[in-house]
Amino acid sequence: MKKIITVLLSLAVMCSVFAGGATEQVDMTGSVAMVLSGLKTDQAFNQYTYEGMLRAASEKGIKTAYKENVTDAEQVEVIRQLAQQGYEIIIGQGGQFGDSLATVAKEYPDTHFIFSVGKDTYGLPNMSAATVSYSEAGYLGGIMAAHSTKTGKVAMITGVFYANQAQMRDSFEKALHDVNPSIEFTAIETNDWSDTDKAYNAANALIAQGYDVLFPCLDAAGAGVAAATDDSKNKAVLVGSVADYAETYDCKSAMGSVTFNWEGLGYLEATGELTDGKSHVVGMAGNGISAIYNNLSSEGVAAVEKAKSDLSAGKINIPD
Amino acid sequence: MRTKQKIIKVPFIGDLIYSSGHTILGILLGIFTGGLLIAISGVNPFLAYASMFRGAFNSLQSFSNVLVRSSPLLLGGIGVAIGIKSGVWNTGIEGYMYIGAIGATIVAIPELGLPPIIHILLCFIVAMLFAGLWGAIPGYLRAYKGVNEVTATIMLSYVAIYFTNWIVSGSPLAQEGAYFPMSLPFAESSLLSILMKGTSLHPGPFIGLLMCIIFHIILKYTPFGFRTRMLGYNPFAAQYAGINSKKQIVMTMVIGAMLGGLGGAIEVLGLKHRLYMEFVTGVGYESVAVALVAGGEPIGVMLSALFFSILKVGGATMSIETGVSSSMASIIIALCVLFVIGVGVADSKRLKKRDEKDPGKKTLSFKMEEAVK
Repeated sequence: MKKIITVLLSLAVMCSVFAGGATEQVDMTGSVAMVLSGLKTDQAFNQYTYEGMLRAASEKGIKTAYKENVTDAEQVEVIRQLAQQGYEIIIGQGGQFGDSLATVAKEYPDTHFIFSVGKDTYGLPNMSAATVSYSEAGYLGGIMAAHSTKTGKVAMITGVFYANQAQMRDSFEKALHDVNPSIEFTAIETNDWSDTDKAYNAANALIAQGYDVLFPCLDAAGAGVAAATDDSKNKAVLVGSVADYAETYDCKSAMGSVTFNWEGLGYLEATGELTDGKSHVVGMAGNGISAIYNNLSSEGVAAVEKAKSDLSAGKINIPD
Repeated sequence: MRTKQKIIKVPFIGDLIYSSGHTILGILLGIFTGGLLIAISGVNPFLAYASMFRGAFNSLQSFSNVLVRSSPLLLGGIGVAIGIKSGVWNTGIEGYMYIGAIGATIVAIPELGLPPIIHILLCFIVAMLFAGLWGAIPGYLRAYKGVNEVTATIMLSYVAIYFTNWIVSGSPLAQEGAYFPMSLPFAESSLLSILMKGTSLHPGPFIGLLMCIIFHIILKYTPFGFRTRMLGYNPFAAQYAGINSKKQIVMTMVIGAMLGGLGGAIEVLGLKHRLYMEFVTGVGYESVAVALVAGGEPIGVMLSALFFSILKVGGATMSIETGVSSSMASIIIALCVLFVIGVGVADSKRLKKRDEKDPGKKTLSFKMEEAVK
């Protein structure tokens, strides 16, 4: 055993000797770092915003870094570490990063911080916030759902009603009732953004209660809702949000989807276009969200197009 | 020269021989295998480990990160270690941390007009009380109803996690309109002070280190410690010696839970200044590994918790600088734990076989007698 320990210790010493001179001076001008709450391969906003940053890096030739799966306990430490390394823009991807970004932003006034998927800048001049317009997405989804229901019962399914999802729910409900005030609406939480089984069971429970249009706002768990409506034998259809359900989940019962352009948001954040210390909500005008049509009736498509122009013209009052 | 060896019974695995030599060998094998995996992922393992080393020791700030990350591991680690000493597996640290943090949150949010030291102590006491009561449940079930404590504590941890989710999203303590489920902010007087400017270093790690020393003394030099150790080494002998083993089991579970609860309270009072959903993220389970690598010794917990923290903090730097997957640090930790267990179990089996072949030698039973001493 002593021999093995000696060999392994020697290897460890060699490792440290070899690695000694690895540091080098790097130009940090325009450099961007992104901290992600999940994996950069999650097929949701972590992945797409990260890909947006990569596109910015290849187009603008800027240095980038990322740290995925950042836990609550290590947020401040990781963000501070990136600030110490001299990254000029640091993006916190997710609502849980707000407090930690603000803590480090106070310590590094010359570094710019972006609270992504949030709207609070904490009153700091070097902190900006950016998100896509959940309100506009909810409204367009509501118009699609109102033109898809036969039973007059529509349901929204989400992981947890954070501030953004609550805003989406309210504008979705407003759109439903703008089209038909008698539509019955419910909204439920599954408490999990990626558990497809939970989402599948929740969707089936709603279908059993007569809800014939489901509006999921989920990450990977959206596949569960898509499977439930596809399996319902035409009892229910789906109006997607965040992702294009027909394409991403091969959902045959999708009437349409309101997609979020996370990649575009990540690109804008990384190119430094949002570092003005303000809160940015990127909606249709900024290409933050788009409406995709699958099985929606021509009447429904026309209604959504009208809603889009009314929203752009400011004729529809929804909070953003 | 022989290193001091002892036997630990690991649930579902069996006896493992523990010594500092076995631990060092296990850790080195873990680091070596981790290096192979890093190489397979296309990164130079020497550069990756150098980056990890820099991340942990590059400056006082880096090392302060190591200390901050060690705080919950130290407290959780001793909580589990006391259990190991008494022969029970207190694997519910994750849940105790959540429940302790909830207790601290209840008294940390309101402005009570107390001096900071009193307010903080009040938060600690309530946290330990909450977690202690929570820990008494699996303790009672194990001692008086024979329910497996591993199952009970893990199940209760899930209850604690979901209870916390409700506290931060649906209870009166939740912050309305938040972008992530979180509680209202804590009162200024309840927050742990920052000991070094430009870092998150709070008194938590030093409280953890102090607790390790205190429990080392308690376990070694007090009647409570003697009863605990005796129960762990030989529960039947302990019973014949008049020790109320049921009461002792409940007590060790409750003390472990209180330490876990204190760890949770320190995390929220020292770092985020609010209670967040899923703020523990597996640290409670890592505490079990910390205690296992430490062989259930509080002084060993100090070293083992610091080692885990070095890997975690250095692992973050390694991931940022070299692009190695963020999971690699966790994989290396897991490999080290597996090798420490594997080396111990293999050695235990080797000695058992030798004992069977040559009953005159009785090497393993000799080691067990030595362990009891």
